[in-house]
Amino acid sequence: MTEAEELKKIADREYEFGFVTDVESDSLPPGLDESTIRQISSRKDEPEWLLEYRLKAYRHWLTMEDPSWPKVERNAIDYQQIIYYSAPKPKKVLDSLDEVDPELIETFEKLGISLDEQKRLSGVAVDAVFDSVSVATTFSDKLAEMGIIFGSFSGAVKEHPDLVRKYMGSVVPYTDNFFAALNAAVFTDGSFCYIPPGVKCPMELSTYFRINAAGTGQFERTLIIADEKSTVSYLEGCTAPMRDENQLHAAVVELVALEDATIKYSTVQNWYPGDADGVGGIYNFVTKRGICKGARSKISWTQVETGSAVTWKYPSCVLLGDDSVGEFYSVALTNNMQQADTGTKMVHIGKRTSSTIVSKGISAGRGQNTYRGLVDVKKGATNARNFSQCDSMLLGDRCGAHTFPYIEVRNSTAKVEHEATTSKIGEDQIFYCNQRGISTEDAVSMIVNGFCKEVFSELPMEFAVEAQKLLAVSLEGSVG
Amino acid sequence: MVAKTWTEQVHTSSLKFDDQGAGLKRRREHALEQFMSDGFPSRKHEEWRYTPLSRLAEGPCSPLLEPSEGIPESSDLPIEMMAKVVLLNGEFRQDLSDLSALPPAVRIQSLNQMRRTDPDQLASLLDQFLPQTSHPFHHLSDALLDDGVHIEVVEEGAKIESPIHILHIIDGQAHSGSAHVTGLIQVATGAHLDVIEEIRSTGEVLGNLRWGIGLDPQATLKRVRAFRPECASIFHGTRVVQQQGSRFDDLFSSSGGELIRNELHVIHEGTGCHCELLGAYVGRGKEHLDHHTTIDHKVEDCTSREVYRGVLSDRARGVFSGMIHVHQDAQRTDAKQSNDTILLSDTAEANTRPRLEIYADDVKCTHGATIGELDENAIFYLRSRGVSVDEARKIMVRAFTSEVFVQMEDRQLSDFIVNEIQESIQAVEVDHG
Repeated sequence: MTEAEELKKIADREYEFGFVTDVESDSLPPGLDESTIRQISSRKDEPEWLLEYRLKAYRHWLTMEDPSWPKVERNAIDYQQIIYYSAPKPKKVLDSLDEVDPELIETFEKLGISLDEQKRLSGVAVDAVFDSVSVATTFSDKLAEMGIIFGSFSGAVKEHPDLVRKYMGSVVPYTDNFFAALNAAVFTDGSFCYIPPGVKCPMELSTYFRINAAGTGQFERTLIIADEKSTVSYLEGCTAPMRDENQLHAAVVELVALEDATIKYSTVQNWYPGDADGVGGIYNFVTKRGICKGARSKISWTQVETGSAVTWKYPSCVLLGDDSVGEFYSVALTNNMQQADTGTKMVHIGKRTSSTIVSKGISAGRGQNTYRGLVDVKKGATNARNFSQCDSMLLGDRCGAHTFPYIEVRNSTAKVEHEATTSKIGEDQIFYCNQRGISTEDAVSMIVNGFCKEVFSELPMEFAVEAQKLLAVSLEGSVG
Repeated sequence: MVAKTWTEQVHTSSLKFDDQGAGLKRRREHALEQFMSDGFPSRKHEEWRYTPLSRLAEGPCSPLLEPSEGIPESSDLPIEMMAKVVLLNGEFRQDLSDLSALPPAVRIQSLNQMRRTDPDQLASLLDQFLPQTSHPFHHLSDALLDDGVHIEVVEEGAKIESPIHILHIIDGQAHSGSAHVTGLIQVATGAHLDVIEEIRSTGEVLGNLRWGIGLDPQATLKRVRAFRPECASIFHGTRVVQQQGSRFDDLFSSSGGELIRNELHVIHEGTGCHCELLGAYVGRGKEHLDHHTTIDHKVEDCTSREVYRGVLSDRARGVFSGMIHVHQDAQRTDAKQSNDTILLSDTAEANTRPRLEIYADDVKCTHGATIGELDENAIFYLRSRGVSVDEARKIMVRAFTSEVFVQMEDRQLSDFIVNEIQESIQAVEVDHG
């Protein structure tokens, strides 16, 4: 098979998570005003302060404009057409997995996420979020023995209101940006995690997000707090059915690392990307930010972005504590009509802070892939260190790869390096592989995997395998 | 509101000009209208994010300068020149210029004269090489277009051996104000031209200089720019359109100046073009040095090299924003860009935005940016051989900037710039950090 055919075959492979689960859901009618927010809040039986917070955010959101600066083209979003609350019925307190709707269990089985603790060998605790509501959390008892709190955000609001109140909005305030304000006003659920001092979380924590109902937006909020000397690794995955409308996913993720704490946050994003002509797909507008509050703390973001019609996010690190470390490893792939404007912000405030940025962008079909990043070394950040590398690979002559780094330095002892390259898979590389009996398809996949190796090696084992498979699926057939 | 007076003054001044041709009239009216509605951009404008213009808009500079009476000290370069063009406060001064040795292959004339004798041709040249944009300084220069220079190598294949010296003198000793100069350079097929452009100024002034350059197939133009304005704000914009196989070399150096904005836009319209953009800048005191470059690779097989190096001390601020835009048809483009900055003090600031926008797949594009301090090990090495700290640091800075000049093949031209830069390095207060 020739290279071009090979590429075409790969490009034509369809999205395999595009099914719809038939569960009854309890939804609010589409539209957004203060009464929608009051209804969400009362359905979730929230305390007064949270409702106040939501309303403040909503009023602030009304004063903001839908931003247009990213390098993406998209349809205008009608915020009155979105269903802001949709929960699978029957909604009652779940004591064990046996009470979860079997349809839901089956859905997650199909997605390859087992909610059955007995069968689970790899020891990953999962919090599954279906549409806007957390449906099940596994291993929570075992984690509780060690003092680790892991569960749904709304559960945490009830059980640990002090922690939630103290940290919610402390990293991403509702005034931060348009979608963060919207999320703060209408968020429905998400994950909450607290690791007590000195505890090393014994298993990977994972949240799986699934948008199911039509016309809904998903607005979840994740808050992870790693107390002094604690360590946690957290995974996030997401899928959605195939629909020809653009669904909005506007999440907020906040990470807080106290002294000597380490948080590793990995995402494999595989929202429905729309069809080959760009119809439908998820608008993935997410605000993710972590703060290294204490000295010697570390936050590491790893992301593999293969889905969504439009991806627009910048997982960032505020390096406040002295000697704190921020890392960002990213693979972003755009195929067909997909667009991605993604990158990171590293804000160096503390002394001897260091950050590493490794971004790999792959564009195929008519995809547009943009790296946009900021390295900001503040005046007091003596001996700050940053290394950034942004590599782009173009597969085909109709796609685009763009690099927009911003570097701002106000301290003479800083050492900041940025480099970017753009390349394609050379015919000579393919020929070399063919010559040694490797098919063109395998050669492409080997080269692309090699290109992304630095990022994949940062992912937890089973995620890395999933990510490699995903890349092969999303890419199929794109070498020019 | 002081800022308002600027637009009011521009309005009054602009209406005073009497244009002959409809083309010039239209350009002026359009630019004036745009400036009246947009004024100076705020820092919320992405292209002006690091460069505030509020001081300029509220400062004492008026939009125009009176013609200077005195004859300022004119510099003589240690290089043999073909011709010398002096623009004093924006006015082409025949009496100070020297065009006597000009060969017939080159024509130089003042824009003011063209406005009167050949307005339609001028309008069409301006439309071709300096099309109207939404840029505030372009609005200003179009709305207040009075004088400038048109340099043209008319003979195909003519190799003009020694350079043309263009000297801008902006004299604001008596009154502070602004000088606006529009320049056009055209080089015929296969011809070659060298240009040295210098800026000197006194007093608090704004120099708004804008060049439109057209290079015919296989033409080459080498330009060296040395800016030494004392406390002036300089906006210097260049737009270059290159035809097949042409080559454009630009070497920029600046020291001094309250605010310098250096904008370069190179458009490769013909295949097989090459451009080389080199720059070195030394910032002291509260200087603000801002470089914006865009290279549009529109067609296939073009190459570009860009190296900008800056040294910033005291409270100086350096900005570099470089864009390489590779269009869909520009296969086999080879573009390299780098920007390196050394900070000598904790109050200095460097902002860098190296950007790539790529729509073709068979390309080689790289950019790199570094910001850091001088290597302590190297300084220690020099000190261990009896060199003082101050001297060691100066040697290091010199070595750092000289890397830009070694790229320039023409020794004569680059030596001239090296001397300029050396002087400003000598003046840098090296921090004993």
